Amino acid sequence: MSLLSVLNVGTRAIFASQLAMDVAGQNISNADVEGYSRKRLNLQPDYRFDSAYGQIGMGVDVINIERLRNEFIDEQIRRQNQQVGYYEELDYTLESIENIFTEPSDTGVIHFVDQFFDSWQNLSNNPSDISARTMVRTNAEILIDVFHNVSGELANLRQTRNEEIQQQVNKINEICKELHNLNLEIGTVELNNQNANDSRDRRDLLLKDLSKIIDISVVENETGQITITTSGNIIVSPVYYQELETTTATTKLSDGTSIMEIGVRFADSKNIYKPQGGLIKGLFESRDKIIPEYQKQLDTLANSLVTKVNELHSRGYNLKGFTGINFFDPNLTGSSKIQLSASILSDVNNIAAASGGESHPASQNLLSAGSHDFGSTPVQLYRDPLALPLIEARNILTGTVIVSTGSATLVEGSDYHIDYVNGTIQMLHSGYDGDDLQIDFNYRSGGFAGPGDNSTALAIANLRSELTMNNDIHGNGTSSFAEYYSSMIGRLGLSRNEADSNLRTRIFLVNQYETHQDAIAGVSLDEEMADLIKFQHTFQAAARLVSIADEMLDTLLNM
Amino acid sequence: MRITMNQLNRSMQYVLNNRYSDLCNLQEQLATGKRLMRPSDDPVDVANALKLETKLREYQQFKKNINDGLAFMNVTGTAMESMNTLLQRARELAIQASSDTIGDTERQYINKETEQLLRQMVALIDTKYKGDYVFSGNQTKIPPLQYISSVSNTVEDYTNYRMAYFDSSAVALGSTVQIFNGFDDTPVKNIIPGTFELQIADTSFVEGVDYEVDYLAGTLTILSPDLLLDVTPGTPAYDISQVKLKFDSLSPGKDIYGSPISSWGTIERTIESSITMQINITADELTTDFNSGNNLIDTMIRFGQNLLRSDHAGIESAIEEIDYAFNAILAAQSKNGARINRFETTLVRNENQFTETTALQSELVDAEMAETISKFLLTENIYNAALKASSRLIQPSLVNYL
Repeated sequence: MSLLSVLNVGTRAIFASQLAMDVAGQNISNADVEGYSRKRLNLQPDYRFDSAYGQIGMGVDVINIERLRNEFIDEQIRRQNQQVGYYEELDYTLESIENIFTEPSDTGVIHFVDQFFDSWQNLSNNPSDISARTMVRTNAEILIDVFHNVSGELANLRQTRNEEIQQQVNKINEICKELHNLNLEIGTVELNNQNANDSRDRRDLLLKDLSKIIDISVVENETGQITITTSGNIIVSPVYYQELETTTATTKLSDGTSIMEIGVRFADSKNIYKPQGGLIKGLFESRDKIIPEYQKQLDTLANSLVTKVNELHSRGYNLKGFTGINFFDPNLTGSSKIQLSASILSDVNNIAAASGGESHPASQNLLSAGSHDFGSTPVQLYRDPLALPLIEARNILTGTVIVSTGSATLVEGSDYHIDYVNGTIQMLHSGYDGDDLQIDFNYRSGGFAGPGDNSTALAIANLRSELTMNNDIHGNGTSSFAEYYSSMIGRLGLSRNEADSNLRTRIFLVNQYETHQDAIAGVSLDEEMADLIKFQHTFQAAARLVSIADEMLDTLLNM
Repeated sequence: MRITMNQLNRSMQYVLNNRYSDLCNLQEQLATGKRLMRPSDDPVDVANALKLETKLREYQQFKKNINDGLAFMNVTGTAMESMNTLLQRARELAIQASSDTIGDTERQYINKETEQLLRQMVALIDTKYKGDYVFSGNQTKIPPLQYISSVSNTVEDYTNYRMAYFDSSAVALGSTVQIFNGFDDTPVKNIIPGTFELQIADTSFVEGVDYEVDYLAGTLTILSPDLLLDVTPGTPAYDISQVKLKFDSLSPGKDIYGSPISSWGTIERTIESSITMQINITADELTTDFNSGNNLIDTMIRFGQNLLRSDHAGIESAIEEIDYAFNAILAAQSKNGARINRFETTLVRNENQFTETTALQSELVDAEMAETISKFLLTENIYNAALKASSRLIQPSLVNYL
């Protein structure tokens, strides 16, 4: 053993402690960097074999710089993170819907439905009052505005989900591209048995980000390169990466309008991408299931309101005794489109608060044979020609009259003329003289009940508490407007609650796993400081060793 | 287990974040006084609260309906009370006129007062509430009774077909002819006694001498040969502008189909969920005694006619007929009174229900202040403690001691 080898041992110790200081310095300076894993310098004693003494120390040997990280925990984090992404999106959408409906408050839809029916009640108290009529129209217009507004907001939310899908696809592509580059880099570095610690840190961080957006499974090969598959399709492999691309498709909405919607597929294989998890799955579910569900329910509410009100209103009588007027435009359905009918918009007097008599069927056989030929003079029709005294059938309903000879059906206008008010029939030519005529028709008893009659207004006002929605198998409603709406809001709250508590649980789990990872990969400043002191002392001691060896050499040389 | 700085940081942030969001929630509850801010706060309670809200609005509307109905019925009631008073006076007059001690001239005077009573009765029957005739049933814009006046003898009246006419050209002296309304060619009925004047070409004809009038039926009995004329408008044989046939008559209001309106039509108010109550009394109910079929207006006109003719027996029977009219009004009054009672009871119940539902609603939706404040204080304390502990723990490291 020579003094020179002592010098050598000292030099290696100095070198090793310098390297250790480097590692500690790197750890300290990256302590706060996200995704950074603690590095450790692995050392081992070097030795040679001496024939006299056996193994003799040759100083310290640097094995490698090790990255301290539990990759199994990373995988657990990724799995939970995917759920976090999914529930975060659902929670966001449901929260937005809650905000759109603004319940419970006095600006929600049901408040204005109530107000609408209140104004009908009010009209029923003053059926001929113009201001009560204007109230009905104004409140109906407000209600329509609210419906338009809420459905517009829902459609808007749905549209933003599409934009979000586009953005997320871009993000996925960027991440995959970078992962592919890192794969190449790590492969090159580790092929030479060197560490690619920092690239691996970066890759793990990217994987964590990616796992929040889509469901991924990651497999690493022996050269440290990874293969990522999502829903059974490879997007990154050691040699290749595949982008996602968006397609547009037209979707028809329940109110008849169509919107452009975005689909996602793999750029190379052109396979449709069906996400199994992550934010993207949440986005698709929000767009295709959750938002349409509320759009549909709102449409159902608006449509039944229109149908039920129109049904009663068209049977009612306006201030001037006309009937058959629709309150809402019957051709415009869906919460985004409903509108008042033109006649209500033009004149509030057309609001039908009054009712008329009832429609009754009747039929009559006019014997024209022989002396009963009635030629071209008007003939009175009776409610029941067999019951005495005869009652004239006035107010015949248009479109209900059928006149036939048994073999031929006569045509109104060319064969006969009906005076609908007085209930008379008049033949227009002599072609059917001598034939028996069978006349079927409906007449209305009573007629316009008068401007003070409020029965139609009352009937419409009573719709509020009537069971009009959710028909059972017999077609009878099982809930009122308010019940239907409040159960919809209740379900909304429950879904949000569910998404929210799922989200909390997942976040908690991710937090737990990250804490675990922190225990392994996190930098402890105390530890690093202690290491610094330790390596400082090692350095000093090694330097001392070199200088003592030097003195000893001096002594030898001066002998 | 190794504990690192990041771990401390993470758990500290997690805890602080959670406590802070708790505080934020409680602050929101305290600031608004509401426990439920959004459906997810408590889905079941929010759904129930929404239903109760609808109920509350319904109660409020029913209350309005009840009050409006009460006002309507009170107007009706007041009119009927006045009617009663007028009828009392008519009865007194009938008793006075039936006495043998007064002469024909006095009876004429009594008829003058009777005419005024009749006109006042008509005014009462035409009572309005908020612009609507209360005794008209559903035809609230048409008065139950309206005056039709046949006016003077100007050419304008003739062209407007406003003038009444009769045709006695083809009948014998002493026979009876119907007077027609020039407006729509319908027979004139219910002429108000004492308003009839007949003048042709400056010759005034005297009732009882030249002719007799049946005021109820609107017929004329011709006693003078000078009156055997056709005064139908447009008849060239006679210059219409020479005829003066002046009187006031009463006619029931007619709907757009031309039928009299007073006999039917109900006005209703919803006073409770799906309970509607009629609030109106029709003119028929008011004027016609159900048992005897006696009509108040007919009675008054017949009474007036008998006064004019000094028909003793007729005047005496008027007393009995007025009693029948009393029956009709009393029946209508008690009907109205019973309805007012029903409305008032319902109003009390409505107010009770409103109060109870409000309490229930408040229990669901409103924040329990004392509880929320103490929760808030508790959370605040925890939050402060967490902050303090964190700040103490995060500061030191080995660096401070080297």
